[in-house]
Amino acid sequence: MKKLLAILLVPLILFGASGCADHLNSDISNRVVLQGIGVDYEEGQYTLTIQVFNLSQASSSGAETNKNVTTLYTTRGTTISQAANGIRQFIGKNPMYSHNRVLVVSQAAADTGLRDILDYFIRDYSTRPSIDFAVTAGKASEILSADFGEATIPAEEIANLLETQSKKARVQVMNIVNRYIAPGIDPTAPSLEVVEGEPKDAKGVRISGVAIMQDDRICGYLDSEQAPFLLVLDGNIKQNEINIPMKEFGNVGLYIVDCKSEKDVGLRDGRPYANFNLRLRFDISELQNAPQEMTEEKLENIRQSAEEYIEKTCGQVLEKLTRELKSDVFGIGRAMMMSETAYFKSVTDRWRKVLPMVTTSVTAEVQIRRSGHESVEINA
Amino acid sequence: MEGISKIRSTQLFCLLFVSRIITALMLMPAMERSAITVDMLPRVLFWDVLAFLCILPIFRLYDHGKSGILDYAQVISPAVCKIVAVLLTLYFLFANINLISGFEVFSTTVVFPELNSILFLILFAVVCGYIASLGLEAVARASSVVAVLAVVIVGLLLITLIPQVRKFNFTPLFYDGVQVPITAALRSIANTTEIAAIAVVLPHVTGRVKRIYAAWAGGITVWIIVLSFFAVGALGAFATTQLFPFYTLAEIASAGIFQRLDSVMTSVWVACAVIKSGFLIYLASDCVRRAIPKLGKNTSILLLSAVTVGCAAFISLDEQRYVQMNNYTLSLIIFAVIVLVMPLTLLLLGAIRRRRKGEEG
Repeated sequence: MKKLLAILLVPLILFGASGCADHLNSDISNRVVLQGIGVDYEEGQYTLTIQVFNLSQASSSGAETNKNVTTLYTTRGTTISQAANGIRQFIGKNPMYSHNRVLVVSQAAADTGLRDILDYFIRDYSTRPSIDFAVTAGKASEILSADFGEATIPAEEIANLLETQSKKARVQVMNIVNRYIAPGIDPTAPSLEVVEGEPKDAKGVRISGVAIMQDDRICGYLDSEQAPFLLVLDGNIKQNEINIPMKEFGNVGLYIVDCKSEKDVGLRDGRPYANFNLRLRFDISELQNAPQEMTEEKLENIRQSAEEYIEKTCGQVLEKLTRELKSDVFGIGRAMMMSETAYFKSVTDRWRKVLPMVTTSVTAEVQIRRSGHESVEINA
Repeated sequence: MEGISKIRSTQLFCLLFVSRIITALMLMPAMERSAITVDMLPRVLFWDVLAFLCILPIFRLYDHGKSGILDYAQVISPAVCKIVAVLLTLYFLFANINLISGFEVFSTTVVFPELNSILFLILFAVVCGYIASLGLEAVARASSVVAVLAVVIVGLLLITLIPQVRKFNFTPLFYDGVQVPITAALRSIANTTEIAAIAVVLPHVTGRVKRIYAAWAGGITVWIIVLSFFAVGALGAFATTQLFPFYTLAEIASAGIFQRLDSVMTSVWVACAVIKSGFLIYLASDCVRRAIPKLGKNTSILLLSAVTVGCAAFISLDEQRYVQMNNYTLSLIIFAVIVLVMPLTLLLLGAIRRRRKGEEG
């Protein structure tokens, strides 16, 4: 009897308690597969630009294709969920968010508060908190409509762009939420811009810098020249290039092999301080005025110049972030929470006002690992 | 309880471990502010101390002729045994309803909101009732497999999260004060049905039961510390926005091209929940048959499953009912009565009875 009951239970559970129970939602042809979402804000309404995987275009003949297999839809609503639900008016199918690769938010939308925008993406059961996040000073719809010269799935190109910049510095939705909830640290996000004619006769996207935030609002940007130094200060940069201007060699290209950053945060005579100790290892990738003879003295010269340049530029970026933009992107407050808990507790509510008064300094220790493949005589 | 049903102490360890795993995984920050913080470490250590204090009266009962709480009560008087049996039946039934309601909240909130709640509850209760009807040995054997699977699967999942752990997500210990982890530990002990379960199954366990208890408490402590380390390190303050943060950990876990490992985690949850529910129905059935000996095993399991479904269905209509069911004060009172007051009262009655017999003798 029990065996019979067990045998009867198996198909009952399989078809009653599994995803197969709901044909309309489980069959992929009855779902809209989202690949990318752009959020703009106009005239009191959120405008979503949704890049959707077009099943019929992708598999019309059963053969592989290298053409763009996505379609763009624009929906509007006073809330994100209302706007997202609008996709049903176009297609009549339920959206599937689990394949969404990227969320791009425009400055105008971000000005309404990222907390309001991201609530839908962290509350809804089908959205992923680990999707890539980026902002744009322009319109998110333009970013999503970039075709990358007939890329198969443009949103995938944007996601790859964000990922390859720096894996450790990759920003996901949950990182943003974590940082604007937690006291003593603020979020950052890559900033994207459209590039006409790149690739040729097409429209591409590039990372133009980094958006800096106070809690959930954008308060400024670092451009593409300053952004790498933010990553250096955070110890979150690898496999990237920095150019050091030197009198002797012109511009020296240095390839970052390794970068570590340690913060020493505390109180000195009752005043907060934050010292950034950087340790970087470089390979020389280019010397504009390469010497005939590379001596140890010259290498040391390059090394010292690199140290001074990094200390100076990182110091300037740090000053801009803490004093001008008043944004604690490096978590100086979090570090203070650990080292001087009682002090941080007393200033938590006014940390934004205390931050510009933190005495900051940057010390860099540079090591040149390799001088490159070019054969020059090295005299010790 | 069937007189011939015996399980090994290692099987008891697996049963208790699986039972506690699902409770830990279904932790909801919405109900406890300190749930996902660094204070999980002192919280679990406080829980260890409280659990040890609570198990002492149970072991004292056991020391008297290796008897469980029901056998000890039977020696005092059949009426006392019936009262204890009824109270334990209600306790295990309540715990089972709580477990299934929580699982239903989980399923319909984060997994599949379109799920038919009533159908899910009925199917779940039928499966768990069937498992309970197979007996203690079958449940224990199944738990051995599930325990190993759970540790391996969750362990591998956590390893994939190592790159996502961030130093700045950790806060100093006792940042919000000592009271918070103590309160959390008390809430945690109030949800520890395993102690009452130990009191009932002890007579049917072969091997060194006290040592197994110590191993279980130690194993659970390590488990919760490791889980909490990754939850705090990878999610940080984001965990407080999530209804089931340990499920969110699985959502963000990835291994190479494999992303969203939450389906893997869900399979572990389902397996652990089914084993625990089956175990609780079995215990409730065993206790109710002590109170009503004429009631058959399958009949009692059927009735208990039906009551579970009915109550869980009622609770599923409103999320707030589940929250009210887990009211801190109510849970603590129920736990204290079942795990502390009842065994201590029995020990007192036993002592009085022995003294009277001694005086008469």
